[in-house]
Amino acid sequence: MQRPCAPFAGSGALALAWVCAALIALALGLCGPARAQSAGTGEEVRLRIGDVLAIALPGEPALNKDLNVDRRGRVALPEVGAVDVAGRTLAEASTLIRNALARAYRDLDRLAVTLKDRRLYITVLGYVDKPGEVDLPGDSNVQQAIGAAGGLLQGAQLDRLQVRRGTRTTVFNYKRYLDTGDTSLLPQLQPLDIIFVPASPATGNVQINFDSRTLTEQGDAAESPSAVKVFGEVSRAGSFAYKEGLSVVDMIMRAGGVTRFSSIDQVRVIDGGEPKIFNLRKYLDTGDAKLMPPLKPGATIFIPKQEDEIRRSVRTVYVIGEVARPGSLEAPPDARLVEILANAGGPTRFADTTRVKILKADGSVQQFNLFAYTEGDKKPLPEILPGDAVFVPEKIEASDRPSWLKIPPSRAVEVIGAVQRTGRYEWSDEMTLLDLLGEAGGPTQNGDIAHLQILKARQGGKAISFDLGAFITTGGKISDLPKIEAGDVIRVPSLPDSPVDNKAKWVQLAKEDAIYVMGQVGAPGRYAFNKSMTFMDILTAANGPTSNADLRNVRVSHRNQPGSKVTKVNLAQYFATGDEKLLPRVRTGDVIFVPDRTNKEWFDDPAESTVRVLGAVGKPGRYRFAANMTLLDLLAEAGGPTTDAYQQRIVVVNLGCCREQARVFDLVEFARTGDISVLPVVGPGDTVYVPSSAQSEWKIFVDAMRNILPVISLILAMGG
Amino acid sequence: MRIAHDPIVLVIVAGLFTSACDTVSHVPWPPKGAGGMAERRPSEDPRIDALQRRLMVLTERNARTYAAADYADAEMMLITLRRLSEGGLPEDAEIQMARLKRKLDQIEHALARPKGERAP
Repeated sequence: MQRPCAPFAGSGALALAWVCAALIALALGLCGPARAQSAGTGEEVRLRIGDVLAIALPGEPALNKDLNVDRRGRVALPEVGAVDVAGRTLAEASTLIRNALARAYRDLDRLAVTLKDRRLYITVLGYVDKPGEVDLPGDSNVQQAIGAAGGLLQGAQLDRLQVRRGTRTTVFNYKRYLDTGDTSLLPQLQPLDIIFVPASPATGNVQINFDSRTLTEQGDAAESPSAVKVFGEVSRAGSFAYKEGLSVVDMIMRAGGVTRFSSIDQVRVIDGGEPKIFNLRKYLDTGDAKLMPPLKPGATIFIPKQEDEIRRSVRTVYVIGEVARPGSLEAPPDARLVEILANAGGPTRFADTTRVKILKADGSVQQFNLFAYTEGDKKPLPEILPGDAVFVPEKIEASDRPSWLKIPPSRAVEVIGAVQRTGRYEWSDEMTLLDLLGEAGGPTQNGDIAHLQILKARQGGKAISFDLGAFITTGGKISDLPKIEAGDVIRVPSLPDSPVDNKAKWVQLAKEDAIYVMGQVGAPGRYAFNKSMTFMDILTAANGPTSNADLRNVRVSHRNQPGSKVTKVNLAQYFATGDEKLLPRVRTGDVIFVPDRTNKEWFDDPAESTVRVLGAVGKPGRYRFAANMTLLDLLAEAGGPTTDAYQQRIVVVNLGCCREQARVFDLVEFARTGDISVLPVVGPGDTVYVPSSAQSEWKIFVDAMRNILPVISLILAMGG
Repeated sequence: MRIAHDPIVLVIVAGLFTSACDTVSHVPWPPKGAGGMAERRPSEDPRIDALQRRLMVLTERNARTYAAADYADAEMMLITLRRLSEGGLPEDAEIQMARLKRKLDQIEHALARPKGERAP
């Protein structure tokens, strides 16, 4: 093993060194160019970062290895450390390496340094799949670097790629390179270069996964001043990159072509601030290239809508009236009516298809029943020629009743029930409920405006009730009226016509709106009632009490309140005095009962309020007693004493609060004298007893005598 | 003729006595009544007269118009009071008198009063 040659000494050794140096110089002079050629350039290349040097010294394994030029341009030598070689030629580098190694090794005459390989350390950033540093062969270009970084992402702006080297940035058109394959368009890469791929402005500021269709629909020119703007009635308006040789038609095609609404007669091309009209239709009809204006960078192409102009051509057919898309159509000469209508979107729901009219170009008019045709009518479809007009009229509507189809549900309010003209009415928010009822002719005579019902369609079918009668009677702000919205349903309920005649209609009346009248009235039943009505109103509505009605004992049962309550009404006293205080306040749900005076049950009159008349009278019984009545009145009401009544001893039994007493009344004596002072007092709860003549003293005596006379006669006969 | 020893006379006398006994054995009739139409005669009770005057005052104040039902009731109550008073039912008369006073008070309350005059 050879050792380092540090211990060189003596003149012989010096001569040997000179020889060695001369040989090395000769060797370098002969081999240098050959090695440079091995690097492939044919020129004296200078080492750079990423290069791989191979050193070899026979017999010294430690010096038989590859050395990489690191990022600082140095190679690391064994035993002696790093040597800066970047920027030097290979010969210069060899000398430097040998000199450096000479500090530790001897006999370096056979040391060989060659350029084994060249690498490129490139950093790729931006819109690539795997941004970062890539290690490439020394002669790699930008495309290889991008490929090593995973390739471009969708949305990358291809014409604005950058190569950054130190503080200098070079922008180049990568798309043009892709279009042409011209590698001269790509900047030459050097180690440690940074390739930056920008995002297209079309991707916006939000990171999402863009698809190619979305990006291309917005054009590919981004913010290039040379981009051609295409907008209007094209499928994909956008800004498209200008290329030499492209025409207006090419640009329109890049924008997806024109829509069916476009007016291709009036294509506008603005080039350099000067607008030009391009008749694309004529160009397509004639193929005359002179009609097409030249396209320059930065031009603007606008395709107007066909509604913006009056169209007239040798193929134009006009469709007007109730079709989905009225307007002019380009129709072939043999077009049929159905085809024309179909192209116009078809008749609307308002169309009267029974009277489709064809206005011929010569001024004549044809009428065609399309509805009948769809029903199998054999009449052929009329032929539509260019210049003709197809008119689809609206459905016929009566003057007082427009077709309901004319008002969509979203703008209609329905008015039903007891109004003059029920129907659907167009609603406007500035209208009020009163406007709507006025539009419907107002409520009918039997309309129950006190219980107007409104169904709120937009509030889940919520139903509300409104007392319009009270509002009109008492007054109020219009703003207090219920808010009506389109879609609502307003119902004016009917008052029952005649409960007697048609009881089935009672059910139309909600129970909370009704009052009940029973007993001795002309028309008992269930009646509509509201707050503004009174007891007498409802009694009158029931045709009033009958002749048998017991006016003194009218009863009102108050329902819909806690507990039970019955009010006794003395209507007779009311009619006698007219005092309104006697009339009860009734409410909906109450029951009014007018009892029968002639057919009353015993329990109708409590014992405390009647006088019992017993004995020899025409009609014994219990009789109601009023304070101003007397015994005479009672006797008269009871039919008076019978013929066998003992009128001299009519007995009155008083049932007082604290004592009971009996008094006798001599009717015969009273009749003779007229002395009212002998008339006994009678009150409710008392008893009047009219004895028969058999109970008189004389009658008793006579009867006794009659009984003993046979005995006396017998005794006398026996004694005689 | 000696009546005492005539058997026929004795039998007749015995029969009369027997019939008399039959006649007088039943309950006697109650006394005669009164007060049936007492309102047609002057009252003998000064308290009742006072109530009647009070009702007359209310009449002058148009109670018959503005408290018609209560007025009618009061009239009926006064009639009843008079009858009970003279009909031998003093306790009932007292009760009725109290009721009548309350009724008259109600009428007083219902009637319009001159400004400054307070309800009784």
